Amino acid sequence: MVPRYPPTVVALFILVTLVVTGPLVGVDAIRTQPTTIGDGTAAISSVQLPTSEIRITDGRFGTKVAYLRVPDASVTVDSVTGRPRLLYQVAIPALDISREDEQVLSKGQSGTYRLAPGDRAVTPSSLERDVYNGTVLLRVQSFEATETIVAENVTVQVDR
Amino acid sequence: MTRDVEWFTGRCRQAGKAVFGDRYGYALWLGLLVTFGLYWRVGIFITDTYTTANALVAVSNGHLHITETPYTLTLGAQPGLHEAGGRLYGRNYGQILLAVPLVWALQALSVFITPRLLLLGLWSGTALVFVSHVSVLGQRHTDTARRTVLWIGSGLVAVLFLAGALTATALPDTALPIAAFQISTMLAAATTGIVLYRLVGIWHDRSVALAAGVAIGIASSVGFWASLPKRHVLVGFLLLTTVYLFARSRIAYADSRHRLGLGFRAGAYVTAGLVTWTHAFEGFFLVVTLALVDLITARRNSFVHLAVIGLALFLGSLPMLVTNFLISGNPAKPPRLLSAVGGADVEFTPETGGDGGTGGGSGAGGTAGTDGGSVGVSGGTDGGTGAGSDGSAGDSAGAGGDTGTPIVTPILGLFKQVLGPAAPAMAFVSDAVSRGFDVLTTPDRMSQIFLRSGSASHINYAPNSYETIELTMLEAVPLFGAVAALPVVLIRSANQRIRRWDVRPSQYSPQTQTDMLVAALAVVFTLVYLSRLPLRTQLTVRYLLPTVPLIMYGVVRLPAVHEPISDSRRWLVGGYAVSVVGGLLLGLGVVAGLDLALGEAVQFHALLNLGGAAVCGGTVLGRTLAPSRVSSRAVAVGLSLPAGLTTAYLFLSGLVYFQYGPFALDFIRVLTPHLPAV
Repeated sequence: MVPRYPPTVVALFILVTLVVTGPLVGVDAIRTQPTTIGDGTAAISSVQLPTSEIRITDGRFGTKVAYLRVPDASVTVDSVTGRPRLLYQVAIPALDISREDEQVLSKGQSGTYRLAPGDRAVTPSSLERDVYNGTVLLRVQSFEATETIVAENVTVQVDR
Repeated sequence: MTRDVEWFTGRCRQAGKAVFGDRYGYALWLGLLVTFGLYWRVGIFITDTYTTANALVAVSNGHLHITETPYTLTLGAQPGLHEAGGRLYGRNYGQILLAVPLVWALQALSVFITPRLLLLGLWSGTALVFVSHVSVLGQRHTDTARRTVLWIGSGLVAVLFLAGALTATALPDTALPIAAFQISTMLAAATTGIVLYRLVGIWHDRSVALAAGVAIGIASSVGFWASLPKRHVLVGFLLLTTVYLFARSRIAYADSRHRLGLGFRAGAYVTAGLVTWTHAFEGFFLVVTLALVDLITARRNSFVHLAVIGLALFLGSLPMLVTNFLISGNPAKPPRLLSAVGGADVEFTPETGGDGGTGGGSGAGGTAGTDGGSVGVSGGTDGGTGAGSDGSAGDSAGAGGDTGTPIVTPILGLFKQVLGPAAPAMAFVSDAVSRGFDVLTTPDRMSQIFLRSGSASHINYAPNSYETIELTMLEAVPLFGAVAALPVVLIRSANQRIRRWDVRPSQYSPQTQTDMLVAALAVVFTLVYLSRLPLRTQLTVRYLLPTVPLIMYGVVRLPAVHEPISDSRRWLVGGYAVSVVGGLLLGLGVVAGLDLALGEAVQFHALLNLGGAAVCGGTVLGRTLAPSRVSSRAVAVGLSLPAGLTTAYLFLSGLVYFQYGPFALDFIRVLTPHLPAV
């Protein structure tokens, strides 16, 4: 007896897949996406980080706050060993604000990664100067080693 | 054997028909679930949920008090944690107990299936059943053969399943209880769609009912909260179910089928009573409003009927009373009245100060009894408001056990205990109402709740990193622009009513009686929360979420809305499709092109939705005033535009704007890095 109703066919296929990959049969289908940092290193071949775009501008659409605009960074990773992470951080110490994004890499995952910390809202009343000093940091970190790829001091213009 | 099976399937079919009505209802329900799954993220969005999720784990392990906290690092820092007799408790136990069987089911299934593929498999299975129903309906209404839809639909599900399975990432076992909690909320949201479909279907044709069901599911803020396990969706569902049962009872009474009418009437009271299990005070307001409207509109209020509804109310409240008794030893004292632990959260509860003090220890935000929530805007971590936990040894227990005359003393003690919280609770009730009236006379506050948020002066945005993510009612559900026509309709019907002033409410048509209950509930559930609004971490004014299905019902009941829907279905469906796609493209384009931040993106949608609401209000009002001037097609477009924009916002808020956990479906996860980010 062969089922000919399409949903039944697909449902049987799904059910078999689920059980075969399940703990009882144990065909490994799940990639453990590493979310926590471990040991290891990564070789970085190129970094695109437009630091000149780091600015403070007014929020639009009636938000009535200012934003520290943090551009995305694009990092090309050539080779990975272990589970290091990419860390990208922009901070303005005088305002006590920072934004960061991280990406945990794992063995064999070379390629280009986008790190998008996003913008950080600031209350307009806290802005007292026209220019602030900021720091930009891009690192490959793991428990055994930290390699700094980019460490820059930037002047952050307040455009209001 | 086969006869038993036949009997069983027959019974199942009967039960299904009783709930879903017909194949359309079933397809609607499944379709909503499939849609909610697409933007379902497994995790905790609002800090309040830590407590309820931890309580869910506790209850699924067989006890009410919280001992382990899989979802927070430290015990005591979560908002909404309560303490009695030295033990820590959560709240909203009704909502939690609804999810417990789902936790067990997921945990049992995870013996055979890895958690990640389990979620994928559940979604795919639901989608397959949906496809098989749609294929029948597709053949009925279009030229497409059933076989074609079946093959294409099943093929698509198979491809998505494969894509999800091949890119599957591990999901820890600890995610299962929170996933079950989210599924329970999604079920409540989808079932709200069904109940509205059934309720509207009593008075109007099927296309109107279906449109209403779809609208409440994915073109209103209910869709936003569908996978966020807060109580509001559940309360909204129970509220609407109460209305539905009430409507059925009025119809039965009007047909002189008194026994059937009494049955439905009792059902309404059971449902209303059940709300107390999740939130005692919302339940209280529901019961009082229902009782008022019910008693003046019922054709029969004989002693037997009153006794039956009293019993029904007691039955509905029984789970709440038992839970309270188990926790505090006092059936009339819900967890929310117990002394709070940790954060400054005593949301919508009287400030009784507990039995033995405490209360005052709730630190900062005392004033308005604010909801100590914040949203994981900046990437999670910040564990709520924290601070100021003093705990203080709770002597609140002291149950009625301290000997004396065997029967009388315990009963008297119990009576005193029951009345103990009653006095402050009553003061609280009258305060909530009178302060609500005060807000009515404050235009700028009303505007920040209902019209335009922008950067609302009454909201403290600091806990959410100054992101202006709070939408007003109209921004969140722009379809409610149609309410602009309500005054005209009300004046007209009041005129008619005056001409027939001698007809008593009990002789009104069931339709009018139901409209009265809906109006009363919408007013009450808005009024009692007004004094707490506007507030941060509401996102779509979630305190008012229970009124959204009611208002949606009201919108559909406007002649200028339901007539065009049944006249111009193609325009409605076509307009909706165009509007969803347009809204998605516009949203993504603006986020990428203007490089928007989160608050800006949300406010962009707010303005866009307000535009949609204006078009909607304009066409519906025009049609109401001059039906010959405004074609039904124009109204259909005017309705589908804001509906589509809302759906687009739901998708974008889930896929792009608010990231707090991994997507349930991996084929969505691999898609999202290709979308622009805020």
